Amino acid sequence: MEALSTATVQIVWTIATYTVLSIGFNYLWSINRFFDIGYAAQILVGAYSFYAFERAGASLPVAACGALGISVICALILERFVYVRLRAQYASPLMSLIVSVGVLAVVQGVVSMLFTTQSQTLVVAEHYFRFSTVSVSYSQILTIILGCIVYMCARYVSTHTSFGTQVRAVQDNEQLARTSGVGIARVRSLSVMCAAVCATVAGIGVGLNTSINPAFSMSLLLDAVVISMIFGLGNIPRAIYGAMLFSCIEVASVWVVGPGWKDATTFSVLIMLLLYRSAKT
Amino acid sequence: MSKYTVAIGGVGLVVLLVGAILISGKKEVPVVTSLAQVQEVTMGAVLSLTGAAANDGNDIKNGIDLAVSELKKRGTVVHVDYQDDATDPKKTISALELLKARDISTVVGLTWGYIASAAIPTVNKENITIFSPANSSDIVAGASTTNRIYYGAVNNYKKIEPTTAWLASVRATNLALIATQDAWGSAHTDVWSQASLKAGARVVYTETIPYGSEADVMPVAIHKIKKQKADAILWTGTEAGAIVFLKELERQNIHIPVLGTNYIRIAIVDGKVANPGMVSSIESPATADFEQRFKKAYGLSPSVYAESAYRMTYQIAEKQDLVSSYDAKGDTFGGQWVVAGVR
Repeated sequence: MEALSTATVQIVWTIATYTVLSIGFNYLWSINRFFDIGYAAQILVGAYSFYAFERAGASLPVAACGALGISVICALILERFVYVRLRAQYASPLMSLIVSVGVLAVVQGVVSMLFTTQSQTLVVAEHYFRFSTVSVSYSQILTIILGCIVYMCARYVSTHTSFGTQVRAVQDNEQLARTSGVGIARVRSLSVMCAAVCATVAGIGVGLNTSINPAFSMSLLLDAVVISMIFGLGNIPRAIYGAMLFSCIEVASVWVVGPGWKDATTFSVLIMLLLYRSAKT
Repeated sequence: MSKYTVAIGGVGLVVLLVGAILISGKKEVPVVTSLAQVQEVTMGAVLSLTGAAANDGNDIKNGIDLAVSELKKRGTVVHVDYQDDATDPKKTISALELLKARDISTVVGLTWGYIASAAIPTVNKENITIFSPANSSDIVAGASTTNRIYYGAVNNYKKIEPTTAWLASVRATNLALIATQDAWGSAHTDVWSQASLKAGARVVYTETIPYGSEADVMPVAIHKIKKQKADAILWTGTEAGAIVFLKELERQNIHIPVLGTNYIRIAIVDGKVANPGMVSSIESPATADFEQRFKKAYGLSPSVYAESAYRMTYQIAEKQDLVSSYDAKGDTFGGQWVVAGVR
């Protein structure tokens, strides 16, 4: 019973984190159509901004708002001065990918200089909710709640607002969307802002539960890419299903098979799933 | 010959005579020879100044820099060509090849065991002599295939005695082991198994965790430790791993004695996690004299790796005899492991 409750808490927390990560990545994919490694840089900026505000004595909500603000501003600056120029030069997806790797390297370097390469924690004295065999930290509860809010907002925006329709239109055919009167620049800016918010929420969530260092965001990005691929890149409402599947396989493999086989088991199942899907289509 | 020619010749002769007298009368000025007495040494340093091993890498660098500044005062100028491998073995190899291309064959560094393991073929091929302050031969896979590496860390088999004493002091009977899934972790599980035998404790649970998987694995590991009713834990791992481990202990409300390697102390002392109590660390302390000088220079407490790097820099600069300092495997003769409670 205790094992079940421990595993359930772990799965629910992982689903919440992966869903948020995946939604953010899907927003970027919808407008950029390349694997934007710069998303990992946004995770870093969000988490470390939170850390800086907290160390400066800000309360948790103030630190979170400050981190969101800085992350969004940095994402917009990046979009305006890097990605817009790349698109103006008709850069290939490969070139854009390489530039985004460079962006991550620069941000990692800046973060290392400002905060050192050591692991940092966002919360020192953690509080816990304990009931029977269930033991959940407040930061896990917070991450799960934020994950639910982000998912519901993203789902609503995607299916009930003109912005959601416009994002899909740009994703499907940018030229057609432009001739139909969609403000491409506005859609891009808003999508980048949404992605930055998701990156910050996920970065803070992971940081609160574990620790952060300049290299921590890369593995999160890889997870986001894989999850996004399971049910189709750019499909924001379905991000949660990918996150559920991935989290369950990952946690189950650690509990049942063993930690050494976590990645091998998870990716074997995912490869089989993708092969099955492509054979069906 | 005209009278003008005679006059010019006479004046010239006088000038020459006066010049000769002046030159011959000038006192001899001694040549400054102090520059010739300055000894110059060049060495390389391939360190993990960024990445997962940055803590140890920067500590080693501080140790080298302290030795360099002291040696300079004694008339030996040591030029250190620093290379950051970012805790990436591929970059370590590139850095070693770059140093060799610059004609540098003596290098301090290769911060962690797996980095040193990866570098062994290059070290052998390029005939580079390595002084590795933070490693010992038992945590470097393939250490027996080279005799070009000198190790500064105290061999882990010396941990058996203090670990046995600690197990006895906390009256451990059911023991849980958590280690990393590499040569470092393997060396520790061996040492701990021997210590548990000597202390009469039974190992009820062993978990080896792949690098970077601590957050995923720790909830399971701690749950199983609880289920197996372990009454003491021996832990080793990374800095991030120490934080996750201590947080998970707290989350699952487990309060049993823990003995860990240095990162468990760093995580608590640096205020990254709350001190759960009953945590001890096993470390090889720096000598009091070195600690005093290091604190004066950097305002920080040194790790033993800083002192090893300091000592090794002196050995290189002064071309000391290495036979009296290292055994056949390249391990240092000195040092000991000490268990201390973390406060």
